[in-house]
Amino acid sequence: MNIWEMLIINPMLNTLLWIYSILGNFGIAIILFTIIVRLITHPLTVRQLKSAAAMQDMQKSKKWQDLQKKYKNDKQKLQQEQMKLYQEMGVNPLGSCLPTLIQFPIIIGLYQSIIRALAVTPMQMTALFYNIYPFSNVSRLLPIDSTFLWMDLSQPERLYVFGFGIPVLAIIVLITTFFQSRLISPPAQPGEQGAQMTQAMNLYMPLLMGYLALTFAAGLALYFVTSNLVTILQYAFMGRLNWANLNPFSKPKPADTK
Amino acid sequence: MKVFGMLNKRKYYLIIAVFLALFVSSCAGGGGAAQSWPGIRADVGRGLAYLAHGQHVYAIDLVNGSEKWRFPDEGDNKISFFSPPALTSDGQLIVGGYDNILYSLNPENGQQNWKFDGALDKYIAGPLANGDKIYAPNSDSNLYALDLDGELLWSFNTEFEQWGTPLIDGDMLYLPSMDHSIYALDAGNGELLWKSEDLGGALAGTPALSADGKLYAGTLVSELLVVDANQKGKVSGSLPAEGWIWAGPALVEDVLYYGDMTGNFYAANAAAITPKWGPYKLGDSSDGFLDMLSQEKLGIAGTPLVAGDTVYFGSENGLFTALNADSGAKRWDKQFDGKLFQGPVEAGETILVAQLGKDELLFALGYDGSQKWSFIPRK
Repeated sequence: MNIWEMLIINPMLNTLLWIYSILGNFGIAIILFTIIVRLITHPLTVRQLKSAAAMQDMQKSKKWQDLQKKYKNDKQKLQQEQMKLYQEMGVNPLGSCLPTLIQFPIIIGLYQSIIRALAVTPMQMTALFYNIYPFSNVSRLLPIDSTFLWMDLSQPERLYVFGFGIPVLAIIVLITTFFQSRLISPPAQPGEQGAQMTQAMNLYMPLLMGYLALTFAAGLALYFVTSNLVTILQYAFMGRLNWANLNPFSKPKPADTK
Repeated sequence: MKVFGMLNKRKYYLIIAVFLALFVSSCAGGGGAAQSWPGIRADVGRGLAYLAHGQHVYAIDLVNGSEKWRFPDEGDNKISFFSPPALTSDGQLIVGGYDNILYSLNPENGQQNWKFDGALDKYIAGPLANGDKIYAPNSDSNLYALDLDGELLWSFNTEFEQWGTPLIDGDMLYLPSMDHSIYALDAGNGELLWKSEDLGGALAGTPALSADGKLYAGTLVSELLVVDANQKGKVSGSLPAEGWIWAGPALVEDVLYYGDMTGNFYAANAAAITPKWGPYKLGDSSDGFLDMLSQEKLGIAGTPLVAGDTVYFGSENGLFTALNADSGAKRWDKQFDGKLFQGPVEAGETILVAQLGKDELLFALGYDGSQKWSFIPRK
């Protein structure tokens, strides 16, 4: 067993199975577990938002604007002075991406836990033996009933209508990822450095996540949908949703600095 | 997201690329990895062993380990074989694939006779051939009974997948299922005669049957259970183990031999359902979380082989062990580089051992552990 399994996979997997043992439905267990994980990492999300807001405030400050004008022809000097200003104003330039990076292993761990729990071959099932805590008594639940609504959570999802397989869940993932990306993106300022990047992310992420949902087990897609919806709710709760971003024809306007 | 405007583009894309690489690598478990372990069938009459492994079924000469034929000739990554083939009374080799198809092959040359494509999921368990019928359990939770021409006679549905080969006793067919039950069926028409009580855990292996009608079955809740066929599937005894008992036990002269996934090997008196000796431990138990980091995977997932006064078994760490069947004392052991999941198979004076994860797929050993030959498929 390696550290990753011991510290990330095993706790997640056993918790997921424990929830399943109570609820009796693996799809609902995935949804509930995703909500729990997102709630636990909520402080990271809040910190991310605060850092981002502090960054925006700093970029609107006179000091920042003056630096841009003064060193517009000397990139190296500009970066040095910017770093000094970060320190002076107590802003961490990585403060709003570190929480995101920390969440990556959680996302990966959660996906691996879902797939391992849904063991569909002897190799996967015997491997599961080493992940389950001996005291947990969840072996009696195996194999997991992977049926949820019309889906088999261990397989890519398709809803067959008149013989055609429609990837309903992948479409929902694409739509919710799109909405999430647009709603939580801070309003872009004209000429802003990251504006193009953000726009690209808002376009490609839904397509990428939709493709993953199309290709991989439906349990993963269910996680994506739940995660997207929870994120939207989190931001709504904090009053950080940018509904204007949903209008593709809206022009950039001054951000809400609350 | 705005912070990425502050990083340069290269760092930004690097972060995204790392995330995607981690994610895809964590997802892509199935591309090149085996989904199960090889299945073996010995055909001493023809001097062949049949090995179902990956994209082919191989026929291997028992004398020198040379490859006689393979099916299909060209590999197809949509088709794979892992379950032990069966031989019919009229000389067909029956093998189920992970492409949901049951194939009949000519054992002389590997040519396909027919195929049955009525199943909806993969064949994990090996088929059973008995008389004029073929019984093929499938992961779609159905047992398919076919005639020797591959025509479906009847099917029987269980509540969950079937990963263990059934066994036959006269007119009775006993079918283990992952739904925690053993079913007794009329072997002729598939009529349900009884269903056992809930055994508490899934059954992945074939139970052993004693002359007095007792079925001995291992479960994934770490128990060896005695299921009384005379009492319509009532549990009449049990023995605990430290780990899952994946395969069915070997039953020889009223002694049960079986291993578990912690690497313990047991012998028990079948009639009295009491321990005879053991457990023989392949490794030390972990004493805590830190020990778990360094612990080897020692699972014993195959039915052991009893030949003479010796019992043989393999384990996931590649160790093949021979114990005195009467006392449990070690006679010898032999370390292989690959993993040994499938139980050993006797073929004349030879013990066949299949390994997973290395180029050499099959070994022929003498009863003293000496290697006679090994089989590497030709490229």
